[in-house]
Amino acid sequence: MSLSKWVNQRVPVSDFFDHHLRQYYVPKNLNIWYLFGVFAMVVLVNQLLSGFFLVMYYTPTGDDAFSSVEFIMREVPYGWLIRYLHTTGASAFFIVIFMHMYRSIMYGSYRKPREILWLSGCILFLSLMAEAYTGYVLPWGQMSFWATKVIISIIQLIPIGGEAIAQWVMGDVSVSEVTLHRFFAFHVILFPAIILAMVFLHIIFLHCVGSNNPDGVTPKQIIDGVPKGYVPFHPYITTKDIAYVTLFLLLFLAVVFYAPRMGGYFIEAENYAPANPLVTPAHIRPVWYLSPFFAILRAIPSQSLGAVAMVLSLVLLFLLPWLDSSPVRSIRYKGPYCQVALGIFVVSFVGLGVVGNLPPSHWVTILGRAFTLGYFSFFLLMPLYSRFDRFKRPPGVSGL
Amino acid sequence: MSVVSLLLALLWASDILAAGRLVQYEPLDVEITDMAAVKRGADFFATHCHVCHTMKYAVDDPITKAAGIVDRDPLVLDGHEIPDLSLKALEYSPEHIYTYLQAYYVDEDSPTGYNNLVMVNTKMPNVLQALQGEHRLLVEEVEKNTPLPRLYEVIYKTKPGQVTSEEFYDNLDDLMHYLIYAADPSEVDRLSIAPWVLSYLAILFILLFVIYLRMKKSYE
Repeated sequence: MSLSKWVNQRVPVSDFFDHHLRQYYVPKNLNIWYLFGVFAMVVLVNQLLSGFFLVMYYTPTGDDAFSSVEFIMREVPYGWLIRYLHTTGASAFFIVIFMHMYRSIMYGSYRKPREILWLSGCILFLSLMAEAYTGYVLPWGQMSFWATKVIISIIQLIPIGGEAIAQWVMGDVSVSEVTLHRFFAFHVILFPAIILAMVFLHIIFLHCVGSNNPDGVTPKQIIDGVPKGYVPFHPYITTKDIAYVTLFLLLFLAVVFYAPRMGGYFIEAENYAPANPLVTPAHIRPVWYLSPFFAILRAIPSQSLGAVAMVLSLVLLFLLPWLDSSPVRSIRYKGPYCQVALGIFVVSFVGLGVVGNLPPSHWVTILGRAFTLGYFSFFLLMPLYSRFDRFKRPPGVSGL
Repeated sequence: MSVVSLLLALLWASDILAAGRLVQYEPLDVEITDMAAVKRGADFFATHCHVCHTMKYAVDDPITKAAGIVDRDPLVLDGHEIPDLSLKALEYSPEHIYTYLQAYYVDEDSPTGYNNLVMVNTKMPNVLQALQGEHRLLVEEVEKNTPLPRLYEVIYKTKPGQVTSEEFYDNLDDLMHYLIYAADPSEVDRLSIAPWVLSYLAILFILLFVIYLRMKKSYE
């Protein structure tokens, strides 16, 4: 008896691969926006592997954390490569995930029947933010320390239980090396476990409902059990993905080799000074991928309302499937209101990211408020503008 | 709640470092693979800077060791530890340090006799004065103008140093090579590995893309 037969009689491995690769069909018209999912998987693997090697040398104590990172950078063979892969990977993760989410927003991939798929993605996004933030604390530089102080103070603004949660997260009465050790536990055990579990579910959910596509329509016609215009995941998508993943790695490693600090955006200059509770840095700014949400916090004159707005800006993502009342999914067939709204959303989100990183001035405040308004309008007015907008009938669809 | 307010206020706070500077940064072009310059810079550091400053994280580096820079506890001056310089080229921009070292001028009101146009009221004495010579302000007082003036627009040399201005700039240029190298020695490795890895991936991408196109054709 062959080994494969022996295994398949016990665990149906071949059936599994048929079901999820060879006979799993996806639309042929998936464009380059559909590559960011697999890029995210590549970055996830990169983070897990590089993180695994970093943990071998990193020491999560107040006295040694900073110098253990420098030890990795200088003394560990190729330690610099492992660390830069990890730090560049963190930023790459957000670039890729922002594109992946924007694709879903653009083509209506959150609409029925993919609501649960979208929700699992939103949970993944929040977990990723928590993972990135707890990781940012670990080098125990000045910005690690003071950014933690700021985030803890935001948690303290929660009206009920805020103080208790903050104290549990800190493990102390103020941010200390106990906090550092705790964040290490969050970063290497809790959040990676949540992310891995959610990624697994995200793919399961995807395979239950199948991929959306740039036209946002599901073909009714089935030929030989395959929907019209669909291709098998393997070899069609696997070949395509492997080619583009190589291109992605090329760009990713170019950053790792030539600009791993990205002018202070991927690794901030202030973090090259060890954490010092007695010296406040001149300008505390959030890391770039959290910047849009900090800009919302800063745009609202009241601090507690600012914190509420920041939380709301994330909650609204979860509600997206129920805010969109358009009869079509994809922006290609939506009318001018939806198209303008999407444009405003993009400008607002990028704008928030930019102003969140600028030192405050009159114009920064005004722009921050305008972009905050733009961001919230996209979501909160969607039930209206998507309902009353014109729309075009996608090709090959008789009724909607 | 007052602590919370203070911390959140920091998010609004302006960049004091940028606000404190009164001149533009002088342009600096560092070719980190120029190891001769890095070595000269390490020697310069050992002679002129190591008297007070340490290079904590770089002491095991062969170039640092060869220059005679040793591991020791930082000195304390007026209750302040004298900064370790091993990561300063990353914490501040190299241009910042490069301009800072050129920006001393005579100021009788200052305890050290000199003040600085990049870090106003700096505690560090003008240690390179013998080498560089002495500068005075061209104007009564430098105001914070926009755009910031260049260094040569606000100070002029009143006393020559042991070396010519050109030699002095060359010395600082070497020093910056060393400080940048010491802050992240991996840059030398990174730049030498990068072309190989990236060319490999570029060729691999072309081959894989051709396979993808051929496979795609078979589905049409």
